[in-house]
Amino acid sequence: MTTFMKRLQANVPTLLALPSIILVMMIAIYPILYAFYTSMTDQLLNQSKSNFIWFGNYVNIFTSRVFWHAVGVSVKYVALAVGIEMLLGFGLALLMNGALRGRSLFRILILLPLMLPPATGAMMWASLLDPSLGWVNYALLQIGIHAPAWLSDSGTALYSVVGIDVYHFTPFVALILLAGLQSIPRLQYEVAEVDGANAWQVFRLVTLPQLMPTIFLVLLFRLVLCINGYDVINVATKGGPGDVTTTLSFQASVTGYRNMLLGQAGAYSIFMFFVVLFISKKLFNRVTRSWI
Amino acid sequence: MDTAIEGVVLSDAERAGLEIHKEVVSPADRVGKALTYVVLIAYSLFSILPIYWTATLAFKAESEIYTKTPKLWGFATTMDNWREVFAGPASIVGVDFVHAIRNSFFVTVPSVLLALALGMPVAYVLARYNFKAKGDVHFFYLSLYFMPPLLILIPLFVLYNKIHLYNTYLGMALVMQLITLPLVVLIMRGFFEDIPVEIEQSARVDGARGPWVFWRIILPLVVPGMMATAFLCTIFSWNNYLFSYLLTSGENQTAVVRITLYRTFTGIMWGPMSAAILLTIVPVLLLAIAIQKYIVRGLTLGAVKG
Repeated sequence: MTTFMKRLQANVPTLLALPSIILVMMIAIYPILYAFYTSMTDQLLNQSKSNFIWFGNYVNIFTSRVFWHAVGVSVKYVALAVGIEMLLGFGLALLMNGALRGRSLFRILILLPLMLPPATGAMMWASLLDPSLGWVNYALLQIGIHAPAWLSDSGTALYSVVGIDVYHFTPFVALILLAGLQSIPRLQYEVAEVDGANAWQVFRLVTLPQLMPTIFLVLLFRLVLCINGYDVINVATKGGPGDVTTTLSFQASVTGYRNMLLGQAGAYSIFMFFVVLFISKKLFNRVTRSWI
Repeated sequence: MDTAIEGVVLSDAERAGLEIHKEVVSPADRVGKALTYVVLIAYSLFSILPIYWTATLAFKAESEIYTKTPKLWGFATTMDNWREVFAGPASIVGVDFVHAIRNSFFVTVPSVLLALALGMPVAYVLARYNFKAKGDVHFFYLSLYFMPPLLILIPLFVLYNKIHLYNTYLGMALVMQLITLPLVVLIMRGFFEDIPVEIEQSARVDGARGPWVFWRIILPLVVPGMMATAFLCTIFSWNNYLFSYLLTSGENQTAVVRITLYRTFTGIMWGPMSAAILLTIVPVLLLAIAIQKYIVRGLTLGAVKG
């Protein structure tokens, strides 16, 4: 074998990964570096010339009311949506984990919302929640409740989009935690039973510790993907009415596309990048065991 | 032979015995059981309500849609909404939805094939080779999946306009790799790891070469997992809204984006829109049911085997 062939063989892993690396450079690494760079310039969307202004954009957004408002909306949105999804999903998983007839049918029915495009799901809910022709307000009226115009009322808009998020992603929590529950060895339950533990003790001492890595994994996925979420709000409320549903990622797109401030939009996205990186680093270390 | 049959009969009897044992339940247990079913059935109804509601709108005449007393059943049906959706360029609303479905197809198929072609080798390397940066490579692909989309899309919008990938199927298939590539790499890694190393080693001992072993021994073993992964990529790619919303325009946008165009200046065309929604989601839901055995593994990128 020639030395060339030998060297080739030693580098097989790199060669196999190379095409993917090149593509990722183009569609991810380059744009991220570009975003880092533009976030330090006064680049506009419709102009090619720009000046380097160091951290001007960051100072600008960190001292603006708009930014902190978006942070507030995002925190509220994510905390509510992920909180409800985790609790409701965990509850459903526990219910489906018992001796149950028709579990596979329930699994399919609960899976369906998760497989809908969130943008489309948001349209479907917009028609269900429509104050003049939707079924929800009609049904509520039958039992004597005058419901608000959910998505266009500034008092209910945020809770309504949270509700749509909950509809889409509670199944994710439920299905993953159910799988986690079912992989807990039966023996552990039998041992606990022999030791005379009651239902609560079994849950606290066997189920919960065994399920913890899976819970953190689900939390990681939901937190990150919820922070990044854009589709539901863009379709259902466009950040409105006013700015009550303007989350960080929606504000980033408004800054970049509507206001054409590429530099500031870059600063928004870089801020979100560090938030997401921080959360995933924190939680990833707790769940690495599941992958490796 | 006889003992084996006896064994089976015995364990059946045992199982029957256990079932009889289980039949003895306290009234409290029975109430709990009934409550479980009530909650699960209620939640299932909540799950399908929007889908069912959309299906009714798709078959309702205008007078049945724009009413203060909407009906969930027993309404007059019509096929008008479907005619509008399939009208193509002759559409009254001005949305050529057949073309939009075609766009989704031409974006989805190449993006899935590309992800498999690029991702399978990486997955194999992660599963079979040991190197220091393995954990980092894994985390890197996961972070692609977790990246705030606008961080990448705004610069990519500028770049795509420069290199003429804006508004093209190729550009869409490339950017879709942000989602499909991590799916393939991380899920397939698990499927490769499920194959015992010994199978591969014995093939090599028999004198088979690297690429041959991969094509004829390994690949056939991961085909079910690969199909499930490909279907999941298809669903994610088909369902994606943001990429097409920001990187294409007009007639070239995918179905999920074009659906929102039934919101016209004069009002929302709920009937045709609902028909368009059904046309878009039903194939995806069928695919999802087909791979539901693998869904947990897929959705957690291989972390929970399910």
